[in-house]
Amino acid sequence: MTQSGMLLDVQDLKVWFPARTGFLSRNKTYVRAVDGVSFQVAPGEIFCLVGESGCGKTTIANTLVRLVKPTSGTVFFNNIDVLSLRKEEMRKLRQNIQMIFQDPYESLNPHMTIFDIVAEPLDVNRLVDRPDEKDTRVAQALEAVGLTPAQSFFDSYPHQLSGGQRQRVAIAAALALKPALIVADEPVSMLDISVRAGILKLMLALRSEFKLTYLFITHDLALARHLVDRIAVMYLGRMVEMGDTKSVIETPLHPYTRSLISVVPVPNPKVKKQKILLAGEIPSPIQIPSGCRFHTRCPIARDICAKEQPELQEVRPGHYVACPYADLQNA
Amino acid sequence: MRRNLSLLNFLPSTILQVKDLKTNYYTRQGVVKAVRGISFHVHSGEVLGLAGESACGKTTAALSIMRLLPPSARIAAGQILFNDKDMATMSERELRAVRWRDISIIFQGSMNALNPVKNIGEQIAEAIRLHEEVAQAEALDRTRNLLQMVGINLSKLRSYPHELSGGMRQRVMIAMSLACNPRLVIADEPVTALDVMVQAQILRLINNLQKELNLSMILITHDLSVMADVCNRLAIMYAGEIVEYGSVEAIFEEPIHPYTQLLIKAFPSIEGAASELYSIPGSPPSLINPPSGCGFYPRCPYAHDECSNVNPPLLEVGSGHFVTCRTAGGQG
Repeated sequence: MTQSGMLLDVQDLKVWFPARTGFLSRNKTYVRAVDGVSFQVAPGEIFCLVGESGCGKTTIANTLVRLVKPTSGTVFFNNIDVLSLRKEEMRKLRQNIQMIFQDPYESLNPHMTIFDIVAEPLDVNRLVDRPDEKDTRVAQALEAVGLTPAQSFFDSYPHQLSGGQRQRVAIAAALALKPALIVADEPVSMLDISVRAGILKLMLALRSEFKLTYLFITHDLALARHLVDRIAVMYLGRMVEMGDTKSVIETPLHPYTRSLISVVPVPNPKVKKQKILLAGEIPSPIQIPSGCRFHTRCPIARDICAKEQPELQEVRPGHYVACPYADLQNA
Repeated sequence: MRRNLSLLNFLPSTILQVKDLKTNYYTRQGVVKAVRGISFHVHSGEVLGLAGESACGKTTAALSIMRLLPPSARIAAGQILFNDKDMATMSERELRAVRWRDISIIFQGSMNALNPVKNIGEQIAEAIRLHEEVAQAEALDRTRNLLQMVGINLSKLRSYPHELSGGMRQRVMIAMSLACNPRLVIADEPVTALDVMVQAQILRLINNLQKELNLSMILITHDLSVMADVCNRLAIMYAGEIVEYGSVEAIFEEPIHPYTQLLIKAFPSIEGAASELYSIPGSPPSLINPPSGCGFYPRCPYAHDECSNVNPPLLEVGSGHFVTCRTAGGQG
């Protein structure tokens, strides 16, 4: 075990799901959802996993809280080996890692009041003994997320709240346990644009107030640009590029990242970007291309790319890319 | 006079004109005034964008034009003029002659819009044969052409919707919308549920087809950055009304309505330096009891007392640039 000073340290994580092929099929095939991913998150950082659907970003999130069992690899949280914990120890650890899900219309139980939703994690972990203490903790959590006066929301049900308010409740429930790490999986993509920034600003404010660390998962690069500290771009279960947000967005190196950034529409009709459109679609994670898994769609692919799987290399301080030919085209 | 007349020939002709359209939903809670008197027109060969957040009435406007409203909704007032005929008062029989042949629609969720138990070739051919009297063989021929046009390999002709990816299904929807050579296509959030790369592919396809076939289009989306890419003109909707209307350049460069200004600001851009994120505090008003004044009044940073009881109509402030707000004009 290493004392890395990192809050989260993921090494060579693989999550393979067995795929049903045929009734009598002997060859076992796997959906290689996550296929060798390593990254570290420093305390207080907002680390972002970006990629298209099926790239494995949500599977990584689910593995961190052991909602999914990984095939191999290690996950250290505060230098604790998460994957070897027993059930009771894991429950303790989960107080420190909380999740916020995408859809606040589905993640809140419609039969429970807002009070019960926020109080449930306190009850489950037996953190409060006296009812008045529970009231205080719930009120504090609701006030922290801007639902004030908190008491006026106690007896409301989720359907009485707007989408933005519901997501605030979900954040309050996550905060109630005073976690160190919050895993936010597309927390604003279901919300209207005019309330999105409100939720994101709240997340930023809570970071400074409670010294939170975020693992932020999104497909929205434009949003990540303005919010997160570091970005890791994923393609078909592997990271292709990782670095400081400014470095990755302004000088992307991997051909996939370059293409992905070029096609993000810009809310300004004057900006006419040169779009690098990739042909076709992401291959199936059951039949992953040999070598570099991006070679089938890569604009600069060479013969060797079909044979050798490139690893992340540090090409600038803190900026890693998994393509040996990447720097040739960014001159 | 003569000079004026010859000038008129160069002006784009209007293919669709919507005048003071009002559409209500009749629910148990009361009458929801989803569209509250909107007027706009579509020039032939242009893409008009209807932009706004959820529940602003943009989809209801589209369904009203197609006369495809659910049973609980009714057009309460207004005209929808297409080819000098008012679609708002047409009989179901007359509508059948217009729908799909003159105006077609690309629906929001392609998975739900396609029939899961019919292969895509059959579905497109069926759409053709329902609206035109052609033999099955000819319909299938046309289907093949359509699939090629939208970039689907003919080996997929007998595929079922569940065998195709989201992007492919959206291509099928586009092929189907073009099946009867319509003059106007309404696209309701055509790329919303798709990944960025697929979204870019589909937008390019729509753009190319629109130019090649000189289609007129109404593009409905909440995503202003997509609008900036594709549209010629833009109508911004809020609480069932159009609050600002004009060329894409005018709307993005000189937005006048406070809502338009704030909405544009709220969109994060991948270009330029990282900046602060903006939100609009508050939420849209209930459309069961809409405010008597300006719908945006409760959230507006420039609101005056009179905004709460006066709801001004659209006023032309520049060439073809209309806005409802009278007070915030210069405060952009």
